[in-house]
Amino acid sequence: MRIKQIMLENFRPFCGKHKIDMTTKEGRSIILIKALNDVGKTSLFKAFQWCLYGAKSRKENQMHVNRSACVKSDGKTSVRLIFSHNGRNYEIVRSIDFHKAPRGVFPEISDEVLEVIEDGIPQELKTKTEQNEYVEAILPFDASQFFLFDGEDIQKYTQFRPGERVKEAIEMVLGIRELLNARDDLENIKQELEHELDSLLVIKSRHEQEAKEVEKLGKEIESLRRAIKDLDNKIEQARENVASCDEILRRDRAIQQKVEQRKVAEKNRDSVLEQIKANEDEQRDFNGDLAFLLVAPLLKELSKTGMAQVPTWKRAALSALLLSESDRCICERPLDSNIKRLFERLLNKGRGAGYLQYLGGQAEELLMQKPPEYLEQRLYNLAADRRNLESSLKLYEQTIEELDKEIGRHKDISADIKAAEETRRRAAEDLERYKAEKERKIVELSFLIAEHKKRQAKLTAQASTDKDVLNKNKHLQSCELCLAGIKYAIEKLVKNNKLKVAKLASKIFLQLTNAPALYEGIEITDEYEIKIRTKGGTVRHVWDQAPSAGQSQIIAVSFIAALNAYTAREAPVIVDTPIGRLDPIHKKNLIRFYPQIGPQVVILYQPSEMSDNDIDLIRRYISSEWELRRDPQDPDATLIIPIKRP
Amino acid sequence: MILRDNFMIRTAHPEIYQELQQKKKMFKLQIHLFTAALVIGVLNKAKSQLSPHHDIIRLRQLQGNLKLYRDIINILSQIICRNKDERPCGAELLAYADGGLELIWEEYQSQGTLDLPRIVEEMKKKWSQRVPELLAIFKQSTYDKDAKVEQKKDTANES
Repeated sequence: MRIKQIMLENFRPFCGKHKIDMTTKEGRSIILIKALNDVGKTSLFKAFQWCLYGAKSRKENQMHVNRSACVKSDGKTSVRLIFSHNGRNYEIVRSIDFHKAPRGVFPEISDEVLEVIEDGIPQELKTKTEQNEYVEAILPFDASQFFLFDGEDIQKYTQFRPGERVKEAIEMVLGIRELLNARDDLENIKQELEHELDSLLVIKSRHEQEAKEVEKLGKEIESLRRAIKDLDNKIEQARENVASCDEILRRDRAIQQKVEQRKVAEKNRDSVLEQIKANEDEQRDFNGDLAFLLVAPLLKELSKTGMAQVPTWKRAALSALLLSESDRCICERPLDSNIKRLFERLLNKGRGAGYLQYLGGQAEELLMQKPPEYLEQRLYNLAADRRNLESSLKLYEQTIEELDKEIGRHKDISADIKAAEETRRRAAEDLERYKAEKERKIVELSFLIAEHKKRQAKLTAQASTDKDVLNKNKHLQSCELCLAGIKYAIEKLVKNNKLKVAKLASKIFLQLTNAPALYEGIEITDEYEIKIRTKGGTVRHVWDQAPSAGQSQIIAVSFIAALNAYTAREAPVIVDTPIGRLDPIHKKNLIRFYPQIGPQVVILYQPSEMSDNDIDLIRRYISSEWELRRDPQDPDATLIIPIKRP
Repeated sequence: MILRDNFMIRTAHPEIYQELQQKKKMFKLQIHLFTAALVIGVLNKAKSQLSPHHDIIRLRQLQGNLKLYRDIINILSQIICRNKDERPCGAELLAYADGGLELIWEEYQSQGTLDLPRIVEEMKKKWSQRVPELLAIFKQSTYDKDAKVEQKKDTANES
């Protein structure tokens, strides 16, 4: 399947008609579609899914109708996909009619209509089943999860044991499912033929009593098979119960962990609040000295003012000299009128500065008692402590708020965990019991089959002259031969494909991971569980290894890429949120890898996931680039704009 | 002018004292806030137009550990009052203190808190401009006063 064009009409945020040309040129497999959050990236992703498989509910269809369009008038919501597949051209249109409805009210809608045109010829697909079968033949819904995926969501393949549906989907992608179906059909035909031969022998055989016993044996085998099938169902059910308990336990334990984290965060927050209180008290103590710190520059100036420096002894000496009326100083120098005037000036200066001197002294005293440098340092320390405490408080409060959102109403989960553990224990016991019972029945069945086969062969040989018996036996033998051949083919194919997928997945994983020195590769079990092989030779389930979200995404991408490489289905890869929370090394590796994941890769990204520099890494593989932008005229509408690069 | 011992320190904004000192407990005593506000008011030449009516404390009660605040008030009153008599000097002092308080309150209301490191830094810058100006005024006033006293003494001697 290679998409050529997608056309959207009044689908989700796409008001009116829009189209994106998705043809890719040789060697340029990438189509980039950029959009901010909540503009239409995921809606476009959903448009592909809806066009192929429709909606699960009427409500979902109502949500697909564009708000602005249905407020204006009656209209139609549709998605048209034009693509080629196995050398044929297809056009699939899914649509619903809607009636005008006021804003905030879901519109009345018609049932979905699917129109299919194959090589220009409209196909007559009357029932829903016919329509589904037609699309399933192109790309089965279960298999589509490996082609249309959310970059962050695919971690699920690494975090949980794959359920039966995932296992079937993987087999479908690898083309094994068809062979398995053929094997099951042949097995049923063989059993029917055995049963018919038994009935025929009762009529035709000369040893009627023996024939009746063989027929009875056949019925016993049939009933034993039914019992084993019942046990299979029970085992599957018990497995599901165990898996579901594991899932509940995983979820509950995660919640419990978060409850514990919340308690720690709460304790830390309370401790910070106490420290803030202590800081406030200290600040209050300090604020008593605030005035000193504020006035300190003035006090410093006052304390050092030169005018305040004429000491008392000097003034006393000057006064004595002036009052003595002597014409000689104590140093024997003559005191003429000029010197006396100078003394008088000095004396007056001293007198004038008397109070200032007093204040200078006071200021000095204050500065000694409250050194401004110390006060300033204390103030800055207090302010820095306060800032740190407040940012810690904010952090703890944010953590508590986030944890509250995740914890929700589950404040104490220990009782739930205990109950889930008990249920799991019982389910695991049931599982073991059913498995043991099945083993016993299989042994019994193989014995009965051998016995039945021997006795049936003997009777058949005795009635070999009978044409009907001969024919029936021939059919049975042919069927057995076919079955053996198919079983052999499946065994070979499964083994080969798994090995090939595991080998390629390992190669891709080592190419993408940021720690290639730690790992040796990926292994895939018979149940399609992914295991990680580390350098020491340890092989563990991914969920036991508990890698980070980014590493899980890388493992899942490697697995999906390897599946796509060996797929029996050709389909484009459409990735929403391609980078998610990957670190720069993973991001760079993955961006470089995307062109190799398939012949047509549509990447729906938001600007913070991929910068222009990142895009430059794959520039030569890009066929076209598009941007989804909110219509400035209408907040409910999105525009699709091609990005032209020089 | 040295204020008399029984000078009553008052404010026109008891509600601000109530909020910052009693409710938010940012200052232990009202005199702590008063003195800080007085320095800020003098430095910013901010005088309140309102007349103070709410008693805080008498100057003479500032004894012991609180004597330091009295010293600051005295220094500032000397600087701002020049040759004024006690009554207008006291009124001017209280107007400056309330003016400074209004500036503090404005900051508190707009920020929700007092960014003291920033206030101290700003005050430092302002002091560098104001100190010479204030000292010049102070010196002038003290010379004038001393000159008057000398004149009086000379007149008395002559007579």
